[in-house]
Amino acid sequence: MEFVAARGNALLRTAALLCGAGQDAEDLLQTALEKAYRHWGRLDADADPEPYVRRILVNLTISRARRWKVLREIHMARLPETPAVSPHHSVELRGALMDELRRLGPRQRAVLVLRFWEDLSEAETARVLGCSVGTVKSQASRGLARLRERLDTNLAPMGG
Amino acid sequence: MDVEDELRRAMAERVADTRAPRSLASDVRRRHRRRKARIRTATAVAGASVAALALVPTYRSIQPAPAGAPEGVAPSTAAPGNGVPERAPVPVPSRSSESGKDGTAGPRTPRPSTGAPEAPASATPRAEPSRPAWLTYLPDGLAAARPCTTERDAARTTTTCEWRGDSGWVRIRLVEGTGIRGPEELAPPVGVPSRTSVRGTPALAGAAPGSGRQVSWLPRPGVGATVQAGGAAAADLMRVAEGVRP
Repeated sequence: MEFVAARGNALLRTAALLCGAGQDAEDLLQTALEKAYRHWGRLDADADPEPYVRRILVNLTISRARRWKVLREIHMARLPETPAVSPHHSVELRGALMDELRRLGPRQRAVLVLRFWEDLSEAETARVLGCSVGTVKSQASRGLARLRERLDTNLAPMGG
Repeated sequence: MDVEDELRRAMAERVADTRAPRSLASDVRRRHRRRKARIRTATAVAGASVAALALVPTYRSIQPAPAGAPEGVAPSTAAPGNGVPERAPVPVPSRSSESGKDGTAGPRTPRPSTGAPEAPASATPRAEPSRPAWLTYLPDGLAAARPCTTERDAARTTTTCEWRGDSGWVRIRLVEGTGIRGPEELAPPVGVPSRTSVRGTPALAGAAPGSGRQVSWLPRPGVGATVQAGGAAAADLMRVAEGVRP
């Protein structure tokens, strides 16, 4: 469990970004670590367990998002908040970015988090997600385009 | 605007205050223990359910004879704890061995074969029930007067069994067929019949033609039963009727 002590913070931050809600992140991480703990014997003694745990985390996030799709849709059915003009434009921009990130699909969000938060390469991201590099490229590109598009719409009244 | 860089900054800003709790490792261990306990409990519950399901038929099979069966048990065969269901002892007549091959089968499953006393299967004398399987009670001291007879016509099959002895006589007639609408069609009693019930089914009781008393009812749709009894056995008429389960 030295691994948990050493990498707990980083994993919890990844979990928070993946699931988009802070309160779910800890539960998600605990579940992922418990799963990894159960199958710890499968890992090579000298191998780094972090990619394995990260993969469990991503898979759990995607499965849980599928299960709670209906609730997420209800949540997203709310009217968008009207942006207020603020002198702190960059703060607003980042807040809006995170909101839009949360509204992306779980797989697309996972690609962006792994690519731009974990700084994984496209190949590493593809390995974690169990898909091809091409899929990672297209998902990242679409995700960023969607963020750009929504930001342009939402931040236009603020002069962004 | 570089969305990638802004996204990096936004993510860093958002999780800057996020720290794993000190108890994370112990929480994970506790969760693991809880999961193991849950699996053990689920396995135990499933095992207990399977065992219960397996035991219920066994329990039913060792239950004693149904209500209405006689209290008397042949002491030679029904020793306590030997697992043999209690049966009323009915005397076996001497000509019982010829029964069972004359095609006088009962009305329906469980097949009573002849309804007459059956010969023991082995040389060792055993107190096999000497009445049809569809009859659970007969008064003591009665023996089959003759093998049950079955008459068939286009619409109905009638099986008649009769027992006689020092304590009187009992005659049972089962009619199976279509178009039996009520007990009044089975065997009209002499005089004015009275309404009664057999195991909750409406029945007509009255004096039997000749002597004795009788009761008629429909044990199930399409099957009619008439029990007639005379002599001392007439006192057990309703008890015999309750034991008719075609």
